[in-house]
Amino acid sequence: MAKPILLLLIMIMSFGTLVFAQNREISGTVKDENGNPISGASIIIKGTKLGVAADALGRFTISAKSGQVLEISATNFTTTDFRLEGQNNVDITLKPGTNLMETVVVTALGIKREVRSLGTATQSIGSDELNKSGTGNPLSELQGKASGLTVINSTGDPGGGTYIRLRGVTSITGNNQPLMVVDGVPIDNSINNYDATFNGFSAGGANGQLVGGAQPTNRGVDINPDDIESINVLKGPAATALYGIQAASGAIIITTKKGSGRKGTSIQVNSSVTVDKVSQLPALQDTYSQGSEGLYSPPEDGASTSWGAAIDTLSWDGATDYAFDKHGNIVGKSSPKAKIPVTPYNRYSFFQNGVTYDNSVALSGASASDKSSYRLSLGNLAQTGIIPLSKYNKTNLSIAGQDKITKRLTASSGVTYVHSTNNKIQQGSQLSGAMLGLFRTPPTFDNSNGFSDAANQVSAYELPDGTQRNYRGGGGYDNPYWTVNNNPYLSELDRVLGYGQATYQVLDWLSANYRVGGDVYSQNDKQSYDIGSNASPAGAVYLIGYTNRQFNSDFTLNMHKTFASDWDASLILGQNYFVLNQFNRFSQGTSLVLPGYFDISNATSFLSAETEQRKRTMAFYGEATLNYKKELYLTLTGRRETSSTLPAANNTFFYPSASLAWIFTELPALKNSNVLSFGKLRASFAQVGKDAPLYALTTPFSTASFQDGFTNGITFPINGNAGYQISSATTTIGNPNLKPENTYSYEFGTDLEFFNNRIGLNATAYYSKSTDVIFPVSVPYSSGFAGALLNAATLENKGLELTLSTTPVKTISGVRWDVNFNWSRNINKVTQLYPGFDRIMVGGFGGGEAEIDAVVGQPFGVIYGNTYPRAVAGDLKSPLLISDVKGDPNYAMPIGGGVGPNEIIGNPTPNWIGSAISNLSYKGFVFSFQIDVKNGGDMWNGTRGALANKGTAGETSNRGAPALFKGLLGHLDDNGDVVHYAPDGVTELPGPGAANTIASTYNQFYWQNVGNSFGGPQEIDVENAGYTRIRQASLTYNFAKNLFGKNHFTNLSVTIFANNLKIWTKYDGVDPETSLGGPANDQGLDYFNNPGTKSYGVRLNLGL
Amino acid sequence: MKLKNYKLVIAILSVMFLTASCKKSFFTEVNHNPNVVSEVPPAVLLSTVEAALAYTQGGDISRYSSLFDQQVFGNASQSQSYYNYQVNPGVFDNVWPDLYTSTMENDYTLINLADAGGNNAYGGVSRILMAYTMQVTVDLWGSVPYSQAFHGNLSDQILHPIFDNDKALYDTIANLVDVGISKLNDADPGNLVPGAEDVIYGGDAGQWIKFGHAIKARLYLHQSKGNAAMATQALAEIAQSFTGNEDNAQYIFGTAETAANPWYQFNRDRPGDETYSTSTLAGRMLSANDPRYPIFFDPTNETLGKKGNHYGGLNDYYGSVNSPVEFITYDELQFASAEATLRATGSIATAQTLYQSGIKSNMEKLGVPTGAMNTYVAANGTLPTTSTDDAIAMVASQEFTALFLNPESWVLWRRTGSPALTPIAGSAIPRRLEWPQSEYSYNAANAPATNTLVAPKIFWDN
Repeated sequence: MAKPILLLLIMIMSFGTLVFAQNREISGTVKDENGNPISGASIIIKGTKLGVAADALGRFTISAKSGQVLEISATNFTTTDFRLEGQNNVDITLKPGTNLMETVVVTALGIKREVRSLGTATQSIGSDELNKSGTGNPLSELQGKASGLTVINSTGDPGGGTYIRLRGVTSITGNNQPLMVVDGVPIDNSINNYDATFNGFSAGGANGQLVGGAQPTNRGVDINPDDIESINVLKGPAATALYGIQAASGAIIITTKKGSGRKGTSIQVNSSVTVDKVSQLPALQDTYSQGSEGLYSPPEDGASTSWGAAIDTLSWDGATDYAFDKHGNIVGKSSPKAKIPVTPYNRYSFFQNGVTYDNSVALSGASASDKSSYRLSLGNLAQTGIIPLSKYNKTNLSIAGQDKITKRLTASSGVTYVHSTNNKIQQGSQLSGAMLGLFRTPPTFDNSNGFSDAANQVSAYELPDGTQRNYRGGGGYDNPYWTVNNNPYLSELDRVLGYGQATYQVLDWLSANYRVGGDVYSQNDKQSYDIGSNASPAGAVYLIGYTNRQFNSDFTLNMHKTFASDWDASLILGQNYFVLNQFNRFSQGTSLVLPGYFDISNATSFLSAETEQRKRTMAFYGEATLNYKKELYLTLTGRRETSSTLPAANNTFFYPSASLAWIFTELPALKNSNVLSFGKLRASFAQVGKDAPLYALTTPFSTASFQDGFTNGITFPINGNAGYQISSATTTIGNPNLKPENTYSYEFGTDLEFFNNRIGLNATAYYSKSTDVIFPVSVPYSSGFAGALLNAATLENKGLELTLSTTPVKTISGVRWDVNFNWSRNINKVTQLYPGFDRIMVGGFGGGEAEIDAVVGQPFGVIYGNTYPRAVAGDLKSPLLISDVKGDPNYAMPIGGGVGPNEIIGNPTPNWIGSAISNLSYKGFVFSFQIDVKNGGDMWNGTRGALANKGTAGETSNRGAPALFKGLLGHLDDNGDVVHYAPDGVTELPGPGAANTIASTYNQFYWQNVGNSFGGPQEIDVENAGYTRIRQASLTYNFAKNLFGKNHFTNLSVTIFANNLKIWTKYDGVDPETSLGGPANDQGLDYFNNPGTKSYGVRLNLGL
Repeated sequence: MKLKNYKLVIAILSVMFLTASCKKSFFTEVNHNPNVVSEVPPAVLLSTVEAALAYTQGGDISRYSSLFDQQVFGNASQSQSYYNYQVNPGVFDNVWPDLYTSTMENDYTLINLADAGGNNAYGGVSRILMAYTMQVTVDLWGSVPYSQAFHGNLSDQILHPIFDNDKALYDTIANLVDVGISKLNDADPGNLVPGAEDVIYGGDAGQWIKFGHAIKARLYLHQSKGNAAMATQALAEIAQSFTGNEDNAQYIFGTAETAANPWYQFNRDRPGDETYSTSTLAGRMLSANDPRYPIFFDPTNETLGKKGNHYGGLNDYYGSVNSPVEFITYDELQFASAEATLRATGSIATAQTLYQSGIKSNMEKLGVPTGAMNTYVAANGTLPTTSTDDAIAMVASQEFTALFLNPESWVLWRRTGSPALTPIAGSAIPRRLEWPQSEYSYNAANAPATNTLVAPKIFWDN
């Protein structure tokens, strides 16, 4: 312990050392194919279940007899048998785990098990498959890597959120994202967000219900992918039952690197540079000017639309003193003042190339005494986005180590510190959203005022008097350059994650393990609006602090016995304690005095608020496994949990799971087949629970605050008077009788390997039913409240997951080609809501328009909104009703204006998702690519709707073109019933009339009131957001170790790579992988979301 | 096995046993939200109810009514749609919860709290406020929930209240006022009495009683068409009501942005969505040389930025951060008195005095100089003697101006058809709001059949 570094580092080995005195001491090393030691490899004397673990240098000593067989296994390596023939020293080389079934993975609670023994579906992702994109985001790296796993990046913004989901939705308003576990300790993956323009304060929510604000980050992105050794995806309830309520939606088990194990010090350097470009943007028209009804209207008149004169009929007058354009005023071409023909401005020039530098260096090694090892890593990600001034900078510092204190006592610990700063950009439905102002800008207005670096030129976005320079004379929507400069949003994070663990081998068959871990962070956000920002004209500064503190403690007793020679049993008994404390402090200062001075003391009106969230759970659990001849594996688990969020009478609940795996290729008849090398059938059943939301049992009074959807509203205190409310438009009635939510599930699967593992197939079918799902049942406001929290819903999920691993080419000359396919389909159905309720809102705009809803009989999260009136009211398959009201501007067009019924208009859930991952290697070259497919899945493209209304959408350049709309003639009478005019044009006859043959025109009225979702029905803008994309492509060259003569390095490789190289999609907005609501339950809305990216980069990996 | 191993096992099991024997309170104690309270005094609810009522009336309700009756012009976005009668039931899911939750649920809680504590003054004030809110609500929608409303968190929980008949609700409202007045007249006001938190009257019971009579005057007047008895009852209530502008029931907003007048907030946040000096009313006032024109409107600041105390085309009196939202004012009662007199007795001479008093008290309230006021009254103060209907039309036409931005102006137009308005789109000006989508979605069993902006009419609209 003399070395200072070792004071920081302690070690564990899962099953301690057992030494048989009566045998010979045999020592050896375990290495990989490159000669690197494999620390922690398990060496077991076959048939005895006695074993040791390799140390940090891959070395081990074991007492064994000649003739016995050592079985050596390690995570992500193929388990190998080694027969002792009298040697005292053995060197064992493990091959990478191509045969997945023989590898070891980390399951619930950090328990390592061979894949072959599992009765549930899991999928493991190794470190070489992570951090290929250079984004530094460990969650987005999971895209396409596992079947049944949905990963959605909300935007391409630096630091943007990533939503992940396993299988289907099991909760309506609760968290549906899997639990994230790092080194056995659950970590926080919350969204902490303040939306100044719409929804206010939401900390740690699963449903941000955002439509504006800046894109929130979920805290799972804080982990540095370079620190990750492997990620194991536990998909179903049976796999996670031991984790309890937190993992009811599956779990992502992250194991970090613990040390290279090479004696002395080794250094690993990873370095990449990535250039981001905007991937896809909505089409804009370049032919018509600002204005209305074909007449140009100058910026100072404030018109919001681009329905003006054709640009080729306009000229600039060359005036040099015109504040809105350096070319002068716009006049008619024939005007005597006309000097320069007007040419349209390129609004897309707002986007820039983003650059990401991702560097990490890791030092690792082991002490000379080989009892201890350590790893120290430092990573930095510095990213600038495709939107000017968007930035993300993340620094991770990790130390981890392990120490064998005595023969029986081992300990380990790890600590990670993360610091990040994120400059975010306002987006979505708000007057200061960057895309909203940008895409609505007419082609006759130059947001940049002629500057190529407009984001750094104040005179691009401010007039000399300091007011805003935008296309609406200062009002309306912010100039995007104003937004990025004058509406800054800075989010700073400091986070410490860590754990300590000790294992004591009490007896040969009994060990005790204790692990305590914590996740503590503070996120400090500062959001400002300068005076004159349209979202907050008086200016505002918001300071929001989030402190999260959670601790997890697990004590386990691990017992392991072999009975006779064929039976092997183990039992784990454990106790868990979890505590969560979140404190949030909020201060708002509005009406700034000095412009451009974003300090809260510069405000004249103040508000503050705080929230405190506390929760405790405690559980006892156990897992028993029984193994017969390595052919049959039975696993039983049980967990009895108590949660503080439930009423005392219902706060303790129990849930069991059982799984069975049968390796049928162990049958004598099937053994040693050349075709079917391995075959397993598995089945499992599980029941898991979820507790209630915090503080849900009562209906208390709180500080009064109300809004009406148009203004910021009123917040108490007013003039020194306090105001309290028991209800407002969002208040839910508490429920003192809540019960835990309950999901039971079963799954069946098979794992097959053919032709000596050249082909592997995993198939899993599952069914789950969630009952007593808690949600705030919407009640009519006339009850005095918005909702009542009830155990009301029932949800079903069924699905199929397939993974096919193939090695089509493998030659002696060293060519190897692996192609792996993942495919999954989940069918979700909301089978029941509260009696009398067929629909509840999950997120979106509300009021029955562009909402994400849970609807009985439908998949969770359908898009609900306004539709066109049709021949058969409410039947979306019946023909459109074409207005027969002569003289009405709507005449001979589908009836617009939002008079049709509100219906389900789309389903964001795809039919299936799939991926193909190919790796081709030859000598030092590795060529890889990944293709992701999302088949189907709708998105409401509200951006398109608004742009069609405003006349900037590309398609509106067809103005004046003839149109003949399909449908039946008719209109709605005063009672809202479908009628049509008799030939006399006056008498109304019931029902629709004849098919429309009247010609019409794509004119301003059509695009503003009928053919868009901004003034017309939302259904028009529901689009298929399916895609096929080349997610990644890369070419790596691994240099020979003796490149410079001697072996100066252990590995050196250079990779060029590209992300989102190509996207094929029918979606005509931004990259269809987007989410207005952020990483939350309400997926499927796009309303001026910040766009996605495609990127190109080069990476260097160097090991010394 | 060595002895020390047994000791360790015992120690481990002890730890597990100890943690297992946690008390129930170990869990329940953390499930109390420290940021909310379970009991409050009546004062802090009264503050909320008054502000919520004023914000809702001065916000959504005032916007709908003054867009429909053309006091303001819908220039862009939703305001433009509403101005053209393009709405759907989802539109009303902002105003409805502001009334039913922020205003009335809190008021209902205040009534129960006041009664339980024997605080009669609060019991009276809270009932007068409930009566006023319900009157405004019924006049917008007709049949609405009341008898079973606000029971969402009570022990006799009702989540799906029935809709009560609008005519019957008028009787309920009158009864609420009566009980309220008797509570205010109670010799024992209770231990806690309204004070500074009562922005409307500062706790003055006498003024609250007058406000109660003013509400009843409206109830009777609304039903007085062809019903002289109702008009007489209205006159009797007016006689017990306001005696001057100092009695006006109005809410004055705060100067902080978080306590700002709703019109001010709207023009600040949505400049140019509505314009004012281009409205039908403004055109009429301009051509009549109405001295209130520059007080109501600021045409030089129609859409852009802030000028003086206000944003956008409303001038200081109604467009400032702390402008009042008026519920019932003295001038309205003078006009009402004139109308009721015409309906009850047909006396044009008596009515004319009251009518002129209405114009004058309105102008005095607004600070019109006496000279300009007299000139205007001289030009517009004579009622036609051709028929009582003509006289009523003229009273209503002037009252309509005085009720600028007050939703009662739309009631007035619906009742009297005066001033004459031409539909902006289609053939009919709206005569009601649509019941909100939320009631159709979540209270389907009780919500009335589908409705439009013109049908069914409110029971007094005939």
